[in-house]
Amino acid sequence: MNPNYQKYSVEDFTQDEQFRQWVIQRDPESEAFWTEWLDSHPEASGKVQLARAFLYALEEKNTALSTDELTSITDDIIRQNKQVVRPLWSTPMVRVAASILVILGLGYLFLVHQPASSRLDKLAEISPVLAVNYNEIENTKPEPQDVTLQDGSVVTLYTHSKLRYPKQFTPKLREVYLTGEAFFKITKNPKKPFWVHADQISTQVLGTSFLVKAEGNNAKVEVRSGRVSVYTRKDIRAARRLQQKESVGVVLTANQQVAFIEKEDRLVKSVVEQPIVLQKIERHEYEFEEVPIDKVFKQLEKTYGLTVIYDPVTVKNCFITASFSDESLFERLNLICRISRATYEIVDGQIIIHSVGCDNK
Amino acid sequence: MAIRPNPTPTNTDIQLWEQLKNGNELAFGKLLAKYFNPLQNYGYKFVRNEDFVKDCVQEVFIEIWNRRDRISTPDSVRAYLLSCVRKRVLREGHRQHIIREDASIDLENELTFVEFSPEWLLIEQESVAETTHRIADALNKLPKRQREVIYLRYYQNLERDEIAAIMGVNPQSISNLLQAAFKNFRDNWAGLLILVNVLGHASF
Repeated sequence: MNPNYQKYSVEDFTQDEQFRQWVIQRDPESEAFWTEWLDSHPEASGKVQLARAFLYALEEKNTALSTDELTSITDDIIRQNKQVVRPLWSTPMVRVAASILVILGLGYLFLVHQPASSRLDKLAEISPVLAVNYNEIENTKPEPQDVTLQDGSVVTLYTHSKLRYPKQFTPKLREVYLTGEAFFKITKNPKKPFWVHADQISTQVLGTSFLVKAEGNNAKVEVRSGRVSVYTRKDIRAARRLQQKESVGVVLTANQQVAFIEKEDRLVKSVVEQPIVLQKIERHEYEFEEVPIDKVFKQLEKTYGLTVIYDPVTVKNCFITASFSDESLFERLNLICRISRATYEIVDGQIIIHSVGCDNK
Repeated sequence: MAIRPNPTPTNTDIQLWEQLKNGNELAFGKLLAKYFNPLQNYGYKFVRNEDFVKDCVQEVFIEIWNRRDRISTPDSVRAYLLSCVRKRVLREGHRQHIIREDASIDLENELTFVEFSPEWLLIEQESVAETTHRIADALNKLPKRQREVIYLRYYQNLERDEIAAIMGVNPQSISNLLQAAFKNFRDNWAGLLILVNVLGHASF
């Protein structure tokens, strides 16, 4: 189906749509395709990398706007319609395109007992800008306090929490350092990723909204919606040393959480204790009458944004009659498993169904 | 060097344009979503000011939308948009003294097509980064107009006639410019290919 890429010249590559999708649009699917293609055609690597470098050389500083921003520009233009064109560079460009909810509490008691100098050394290693040229705010009042950052992001600091942020964000990154707990509302800017550093882990904002919190010495990140990736200190260090763009962080999506196990220095991914409904489902869609079980699983996946893994062949004769109202996810799973003589477990933030089938009719 | 047909189907653009002329908001949105970023990229080649370029591109779209019942359909939507942005960036930039202080200078001849400077790129593979810089260096030795032709031909993936329309010269001159550019540049290709092969082993 694909063109005969083996015969392509450097110039042919630069004009190939699939290739341009990868290099210019940074499309992840195309990237996967080319990575795989290169693995099986190492002899073409020279040409491919040259074509890639050629397009990169022509590229400009990445000024690309996200789909959301483009949609809002379109809306603005259509709405202003016949009005006089206003000088646009006078309009404020700061717009909260995504609100992100973060609460970080990171082994607070543990941290204060550490000598301050060693914490600062660690911080300087991760983010030099936060170690030299920064502002620091501590909330000593009993009620939460709002801090607005220069990019328009708003951080709600909880009591006894401290936030450190650079006087000027670097051109490529927005980084802050937190001890305690905070709630973040981040202005979306794909060109400048937002990082929340803490002593043990770092969280990168990839998507829209999430919640992070921690207990005792073990930091914990919970995602309500959207996507974040979480890295241990060690991961970050390794990634920076190897100059890799991709490192070994854990990506979390809605209703997933990750706990930092200090003793083992690793992150363990699972499902949050109380998964929330992400997508409101019409009541009648929760009335199941002799419905194949996979339909029920699909409905749960849609509702909670979590993956349900099961063997479709084993469960093909399982039918469910039930009606859900306001049970939690786990109550629903228990009910379904009881009816179908199955069990479930949570592995790596996914729901695994163990079924022996329903063939006794 | 053969110029091959543009692989992107252009008649869908024409269809969207026709719908846009009838006030179809969806079609307008699709065109904007497709071209806004490449247009910004081009504008930035002349004036290195993000907000300024963004506003220029935005105004091109505002004008198109506001004059939708009067505008004609271009042969190539992409080329038309690029040429609108080019004109506006140069005119506005000039008016605001972003490009240069002296307003009496003839724009066409004095246009600033800036040097390629891929420093901002975060390229994960060192070999690719190295090659990128070498290519940029080689390209920066070319005269401005050859540089712009190369950019439009390869980065914007345009045909010769489209480039000619944007730069306001005849298509034959574009062929000549491309040929000249490659004559200057070609010797480096062979060397680069060897370089990539050597460095490339570590990463793939």
